[in-house]
Amino acid sequence: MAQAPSRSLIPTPVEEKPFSTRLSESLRYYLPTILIAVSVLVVWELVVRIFNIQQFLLPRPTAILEEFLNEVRQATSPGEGSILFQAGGATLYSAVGGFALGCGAGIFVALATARWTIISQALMPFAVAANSVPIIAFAPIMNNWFGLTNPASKMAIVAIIVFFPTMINTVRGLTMVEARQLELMQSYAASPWKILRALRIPNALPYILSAMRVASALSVIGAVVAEFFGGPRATIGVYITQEAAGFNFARAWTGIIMASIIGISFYVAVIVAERWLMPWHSSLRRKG
Amino acid sequence: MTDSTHDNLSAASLSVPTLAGMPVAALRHWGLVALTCAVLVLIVVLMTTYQTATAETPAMAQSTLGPLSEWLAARSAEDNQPALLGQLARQQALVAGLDRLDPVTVSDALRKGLVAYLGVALVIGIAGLVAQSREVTWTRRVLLVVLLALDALVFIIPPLDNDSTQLMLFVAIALLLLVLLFAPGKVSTFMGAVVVFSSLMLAWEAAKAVGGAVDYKVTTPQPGWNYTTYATLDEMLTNVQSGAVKVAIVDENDVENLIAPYPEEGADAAATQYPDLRMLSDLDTDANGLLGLPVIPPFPGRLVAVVPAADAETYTGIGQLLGQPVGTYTGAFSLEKFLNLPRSLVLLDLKITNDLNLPHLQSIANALWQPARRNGDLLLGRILADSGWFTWTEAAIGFTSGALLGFLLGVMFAHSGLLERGLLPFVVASQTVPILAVAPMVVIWLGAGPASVAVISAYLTFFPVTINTLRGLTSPHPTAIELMQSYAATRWTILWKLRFPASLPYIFTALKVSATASVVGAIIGELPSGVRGGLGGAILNFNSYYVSDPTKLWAAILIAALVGIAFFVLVSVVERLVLGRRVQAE
Amino acid sequence: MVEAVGTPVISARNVNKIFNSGSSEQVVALENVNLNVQPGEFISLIGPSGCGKSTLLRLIADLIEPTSGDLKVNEKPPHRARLDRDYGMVFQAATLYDWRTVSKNVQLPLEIMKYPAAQRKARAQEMLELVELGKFGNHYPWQLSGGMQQRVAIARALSFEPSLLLMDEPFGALDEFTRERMNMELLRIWERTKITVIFVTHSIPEAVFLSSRVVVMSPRPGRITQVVDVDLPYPRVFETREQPRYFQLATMVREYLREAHGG
Repeated sequence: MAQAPSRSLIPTPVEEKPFSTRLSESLRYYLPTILIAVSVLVVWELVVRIFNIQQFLLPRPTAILEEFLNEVRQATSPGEGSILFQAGGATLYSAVGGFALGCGAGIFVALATARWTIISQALMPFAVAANSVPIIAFAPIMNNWFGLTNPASKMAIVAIIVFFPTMINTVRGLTMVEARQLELMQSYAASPWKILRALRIPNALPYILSAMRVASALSVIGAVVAEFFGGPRATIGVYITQEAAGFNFARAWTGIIMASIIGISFYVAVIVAERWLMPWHSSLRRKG
Repeated sequence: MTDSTHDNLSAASLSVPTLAGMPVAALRHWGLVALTCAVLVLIVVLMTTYQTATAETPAMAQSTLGPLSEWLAARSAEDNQPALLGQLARQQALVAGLDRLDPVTVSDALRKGLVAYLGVALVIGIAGLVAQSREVTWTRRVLLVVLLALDALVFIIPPLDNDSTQLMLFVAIALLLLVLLFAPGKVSTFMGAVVVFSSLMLAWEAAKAVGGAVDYKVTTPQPGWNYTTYATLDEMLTNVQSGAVKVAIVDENDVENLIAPYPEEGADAAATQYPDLRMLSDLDTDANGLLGLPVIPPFPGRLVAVVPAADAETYTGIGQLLGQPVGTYTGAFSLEKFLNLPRSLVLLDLKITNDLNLPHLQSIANALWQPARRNGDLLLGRILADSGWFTWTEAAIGFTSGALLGFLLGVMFAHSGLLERGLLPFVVASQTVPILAVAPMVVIWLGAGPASVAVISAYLTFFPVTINTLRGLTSPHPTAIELMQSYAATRWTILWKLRFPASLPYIFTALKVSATASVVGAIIGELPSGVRGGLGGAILNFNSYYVSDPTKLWAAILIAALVGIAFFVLVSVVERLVLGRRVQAE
Repeated sequence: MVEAVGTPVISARNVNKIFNSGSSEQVVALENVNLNVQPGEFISLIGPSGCGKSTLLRLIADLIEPTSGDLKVNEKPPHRARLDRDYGMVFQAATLYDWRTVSKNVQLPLEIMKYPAAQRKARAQEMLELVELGKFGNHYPWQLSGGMQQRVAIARALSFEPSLLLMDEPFGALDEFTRERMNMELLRIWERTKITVIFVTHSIPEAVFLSSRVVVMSPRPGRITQVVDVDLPYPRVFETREQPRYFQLATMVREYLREAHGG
C-alpha cells in the first residue's frame, strides 16, 4: 500500500488564508474597540483643555504621554537611566519570581496530595478558605522578615497569593477525569503512578494553564500593592505613591501605564506558553 | 496470556492482610482507641493542673486569663464605660456589694471556668472514645468538637520555661489529629479546614520550638583550621618565608607597612621588609561554605592572608587555605577571634522564628484580650472588631454596587454583540491597571472617606461578575432557546425564564471571587485615603509599633483574615440557599 | 442449551450484585446469573435499561465485585484476569486522549504493559491497518469522525492481543448507516482474530446480526431470562438481514424481551 506523504503533527484541515486577509479581518473585528479607545482619549484631552482642569485632579493624556516618552528617552540614552523603567524591571522581577515560586509550590503540593484523596479532601476546603484571606495584609510582616528593600519580601506575598488558586485548580484538573477514562486504565491494570503520568497530568494541563493566566495578572498587581507598604524607590508601587504624594499626577500615571504594560506582557507570555504546551487544545478551539 | 494453573480462591475469600501476625484492621482499631485514651489522659492532666493552680501560678498568671482578670478588676470600679466586658465586671462587683472586684477573685473565677470547660471537653472526648471503639460513623464529628475545644486552648495556655503544660496540650492535639485521620466517618468541608488549620498551628509552634532549640540556626561542624602559634609576628613571618607554614592569617594593620599587597597596587615589593611575601587583599572570603551556604565564624574584614610571593596567584578563595598549615601568633585577634573558634556550616538560618518575627500564638491572643493602650477602656479585640466592622461595611457597599454594575454590564453585553466587541476589551484591560495604583487619585477626586474606599472595592468586584454573567447568560444550548422561541416568548421572557436561571451558578462563582476582592480592595483602599477607622488603618498603625509589640500587628492581620473568610462564607451560604441542590461545578 | 465444550472463557454461577446493600436505596442489579461462554463465541447481552447488562460486563472486567456467586474469566478470578490483561474494552464513547495522536492512542495499553518502543509502533500500525485506518496514525482524534474514532478504540482494545473483547454499546452514538457498516467491520475483525466477544447493546437487529448467541435480560431484579442460539451461517453479509430466518430470530428476541418486561 502506497504511503501518503508524512503529515505534520498538526495537519490543518482548514485552508490557510493569506496573511493580508487575516490582518484586515482582525482589524475590522476590533474596529469598534479601537474607535472607542481613540474617542475616549480625544474627549479626555479636550475636556481637560477646555475646562482648564487642574493637573492634580486629572492630567491630560498628552501630558502623560510626554512624561512617558521622556522616560523612554532617558532609558534608551546611554549613561542615563530611567527610574520608571528600572522600577518596571524590579517589579516585574518580584512578580515573576513570586509567580514561579507560588505556581511551582501549588502544582507540587497538588501532585503530592492528589494521590491520597483524604489529604486533598482536607486540604481543599482550607485552600478555598485561605484564598479568601486578604494576603496583602501580610505585607508588613514580610517586610519585617525579609527586609524592606529585599525583593524576597514582595516575592513572598506574590507567591502566597498565587499558590492557592494554582493548587486548587491543579487538584481539580488531576481529579476531574472522566469515569470511563479511569475504567479504561483499570482494565489495563495500570499502576496509580502510570495513571497519574499518562492520564491525570495531561488532563490537568488546561486547568493548570488557565490558573496560570489568572496568576500572571495577580502577580503583577500583588507585587505593586505589596510595594505600597514600602520598598525600594525603584519599584512601581513606591514610585506611584511617591509621585502621587508629590502631586505629580502625570508621572504617577506613567507608573500606572508601566504597570499595565508589565501586566499585559506577562499575561501574553502565559498565553504563548499555553499555545506551545497544548497545541491540541487550542486547535480544538480554533476549529470549534 | 492465559494462565493454565487453576486458582480456586474466589474474589470474596482473598487472604486478609496481616502485620506481625495480627490483622491490620484490628491493629488499626486498637491503636486508635489507645491514642484516643492518651488524649483523654492528657486532658485530665490539664484539668488537674488548673484545678490545683492558684492565681499566682505561672500557668494561670501568664495565660491570657491572667492580665484579663487584672483588667476586669480595674474596670469593675468604673461606672458608664464603653467596654461590654467592663460593664459585666462592674455589675458583678455591685451584685457582690463591693466597690471593686479583687483580681485574685476574678482570676479564680476564670480558672474555675477553664476547669469546667476542660471537663466538658473530657465528657465529649469520652463519647468520642466510645464511638471510636464501636466504629460508629459519627466518630469523626465528635472528635472534631474535642479538637476545636483544644484548639481554643492554644490561645489561652502560655508557653512557660520548665513547665510542660503547653507541651501536653500540643501533644494532645497532635494525637487527636492522627486519630481523626484514620477514624471512621465522612470528611466534611469544615472538618478538612479545621484539621489543616490545627496542623498549621502545630507547625507554627513546632517551628518556634525548633528555632529556639537550635538557637535559630541549624549548623553542622566543619573541619577547623590547621594552625601553629608562634611567639611573635616576626617569628611567624620568618616561618612563612622558610616554608614551615604555607600561609599566615594576620591583622591588616600589623603588616600593611611590612608587606606588599597582591594584586599589586603600585607598591614596590622590593622596598618592603619582607620582599618575598605578599598579603592577599583580594581574597574571596565568601567562597567559604558548601554550595554558597555561609560558615560561622565569618572571615573578619580586618584580617588578611600572608603568603610567599610565588604562591600569591594560587590562592583566590579562603576555602583553599583551609587544609594548609597556617601560622598565627599569640595574643593576635586572628587567633582569639577566628582560628581558635570551632567552624560550623550554617545549613538553615531560622532567624524568623524569634519572638519578634513569629510570636507565640498565645501572645497574639493575649494581645487581643488586653487594652490597646495601657490602662485603656477598650480591649484590643474590641477595637479591632470595630475596625473590622467598619471595613466590612465598606466592602459590603463596594461588593453590592460592583456586583450590580457587573450584572448590568453582563446583560448588556449578552444582548448587544456590538457593545460587547467595543467595550469588553476595555473591561478586560481595566483589570490589568492595578486600581490600587489609581487609588491615591480616586481619593483626591472623592475625598478621603469611606466613599472612595467603596468605589475601589466596587471596581475590583465588577469585572469577574461581568465576565461570568456574560458567560452564564449565553450558556443555554441553542435548542433550549429555539424551544422558547417556539412558544413565541419575548426576549425579556427568555432572559428571565431561561438565561437568568442558567447563569446563576456562574454568577455565584464570580461572586465568591469578588467577595475576597472587595475585602482586599476595602483594606488597601484605606491606606492612601488615610481612613483610620478600618483595618487598613489599624494595620498601618500597628506596623509602626512592630519593633516594640509585634503581636498587635499579627492580631490586626488575624482579624482581617477573619473578615475575608466571613465574607466568603456568607456568599457561599447564600449560594447554597439560592441554588439549593443544583449540581455545582465547584 | 449450554453445552460444556472445552473450557469456557467465562463461567458465571449464581452471580449476584446488590448496590447499597442494607440501605433504603438498595438495588438488586443482578440476581442469580448463570452463563457459560465458549472460546470464539460472539455473545450479545440485550435488554431494557436497568436489566444489569452493563453491570455484568463490569463484573467480568473486574471494575466492580460481585456480591456473591462464582465468576471466572479464563478459569481465573476476574481480578487475576484483569491483572493478566486478558481482555480489551470498548465503551460507547471512544474515550481517546485529545492530546495524543491516533497512533499514540493505540499504543497506550502497550506503553502501560511496557512493550519496547519499536514493537509498539509496529503493532499500532498493524492494528490500525486491521481497522482500515492505516493512513491516519498521525492525526488527532478530533480530526476523525465518530465511526473512525470507534475504530481506533477497537484497534486500541485489540493491540495487546487479549483473548476476550468486552464492548459496552460501542456503536450507540453512531447513525444507522455507519452502525451497519461498523457491524460488518466488527465481524470481519472477529473472524480474523478468533477472539471471544461480549457485546452489550440496545438494538435487536444488531444483536441478532452479530452474535452466535443472544442473551436476553430483564430488569428489577436484573437477570437472564432467555438465551437464543442464532443459527445463521457465518460469514454474515448485508443480505443476511433480509433472510426470513433473520426476521424469525429477531421476532423471537423481541417477544422474549416483551415478556420479560411486561411480566
